[in-house]
Amino acid sequence: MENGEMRMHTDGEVDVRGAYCAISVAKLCNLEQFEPKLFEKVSDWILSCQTYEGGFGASPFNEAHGGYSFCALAALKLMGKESLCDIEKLTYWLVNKQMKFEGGFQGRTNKLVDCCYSFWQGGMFPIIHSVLMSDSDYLQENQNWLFDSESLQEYILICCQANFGGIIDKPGKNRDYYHTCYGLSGLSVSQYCMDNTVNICENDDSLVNRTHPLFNIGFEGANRAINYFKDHLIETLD
Amino acid sequence: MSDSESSDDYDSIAIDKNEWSDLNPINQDHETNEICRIAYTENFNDVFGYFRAVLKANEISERAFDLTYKAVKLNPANYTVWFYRRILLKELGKDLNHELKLVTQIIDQNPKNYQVWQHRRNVVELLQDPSKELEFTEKILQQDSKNYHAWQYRQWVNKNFALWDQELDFVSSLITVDYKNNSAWNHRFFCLINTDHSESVLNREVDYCFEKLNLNINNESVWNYLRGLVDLMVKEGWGYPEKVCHFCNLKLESNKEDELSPFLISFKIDYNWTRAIEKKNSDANAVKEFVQQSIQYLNLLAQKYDTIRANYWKYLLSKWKQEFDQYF
Repeated sequence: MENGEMRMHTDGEVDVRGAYCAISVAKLCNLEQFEPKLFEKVSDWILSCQTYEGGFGASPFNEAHGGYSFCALAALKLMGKESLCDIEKLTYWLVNKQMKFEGGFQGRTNKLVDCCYSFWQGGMFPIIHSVLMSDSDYLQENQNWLFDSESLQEYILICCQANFGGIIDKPGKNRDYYHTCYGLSGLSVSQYCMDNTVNICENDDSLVNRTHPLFNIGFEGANRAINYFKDHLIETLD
Repeated sequence: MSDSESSDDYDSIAIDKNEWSDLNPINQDHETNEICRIAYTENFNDVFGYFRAVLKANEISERAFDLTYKAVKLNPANYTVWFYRRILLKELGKDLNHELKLVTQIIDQNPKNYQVWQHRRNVVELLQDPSKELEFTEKILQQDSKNYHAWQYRQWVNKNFALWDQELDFVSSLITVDYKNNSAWNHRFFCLINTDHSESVLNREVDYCFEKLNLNINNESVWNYLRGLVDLMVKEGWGYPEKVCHFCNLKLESNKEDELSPFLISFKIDYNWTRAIEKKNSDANAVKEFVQQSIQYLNLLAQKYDTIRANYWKYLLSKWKQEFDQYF
């Protein structure tokens, strides 16, 4: 769209998820070889979704929300524009989304914990770390993310496992694939530090494989895909 | 659950195959080794089988239109059906006010569905009639005061049709009911930015924050909103509002355990940072005070008042040390 917005589908809703989906697919499959200016105005539009709270909403002025914030930050990072947002404000908002009693994350200020935010919120920390460490000796030496990894791992593993397998939103809820996916993804982010060392807070059996913090697919697999499409330039149709 | 749901049970959404004898339904592609095959009912498969056929044939007809109704009742998240229904609405010259009534009902039953809200937006945009929209979103917010779609939609109505008059009162009433309703506070900020945000209005808003903080000092929504106000005032060139600094100092000095909200403390630290940077090369004594107080507070937060964020407070400590290391 002209101002950098992206719709989810033809005459569908405009929100930052659309930008993230388009950009992450384009980066994985090297689609910009066809259209280098594909995302020229998108970063400005994404930046306009950052609210006074520091997080990002679905569209400009919408409430700061974990899911949309992840999409915004990951999309910006994929375009190399992550430093253009107010990272300090984002970090302040984000760290305050970890619930001091439950250990998991909430999606918005003054709302309830939900295990899926283990990834949406937790997953932003690797990106933020990579930005802030360029100005900080402390973060270059300190491999842990800026949240309480132990508390998050405990919330996921102790509070959010359903009796017969699968992961749930919070105690009392039913299991589903969505919460299982994002609970495990958040667990993975917690368990792997910046330098790829592990930080297992429960027993060793709880270690999962490393997820790629921008695509949330297996780390090795993501890199293989990127390299494949870089090496195999697709012939144009004409 | 609304009354209309009982009249829309599967029988009334059932398809009459005699009506469709001229078309072959198109089956959904099935992988041979699906990880998780969905157990569709026979009726569901019929409806969508014929829908796919209608779509492929580009059929514009009343029966196609009725079919899209059945399809969205069965799966309101199927955006292709909504897309095609919008084409039919236009091509068949359908009554959009009637469509608005229909989408009202469907949103009521599926208030967290993206497609139905988008459909409403498309219909209202065509009608260019926002007269029912504020009332409608208010009704949905009465059921769930934080429904993201409702707030997002309401913001669109406000901006697109320049309907601002009711908003401040609306948001104030919600905050009165629940002063921790962050969606309401966010909407308040949105209204401010898009209407009058002169110095006197922002000062009034600061007082409003104090009023709410006096009810509960540990309300993150208010502190975030206050930060937003202060940033705005500084950006507009009116300088940092001294009464905010005064308010914080008063609360901090009261020294009552339950008054020492981590949000209050971090707000002061943030203020100190701005001031310290400002005076870095001009007033060493002042800077020293800001540094010492901030270090003390950061340690208190990391060790006592907000330990879950210890990693973050320690990072901020390192920032203070890095920037002001001559004061250590």
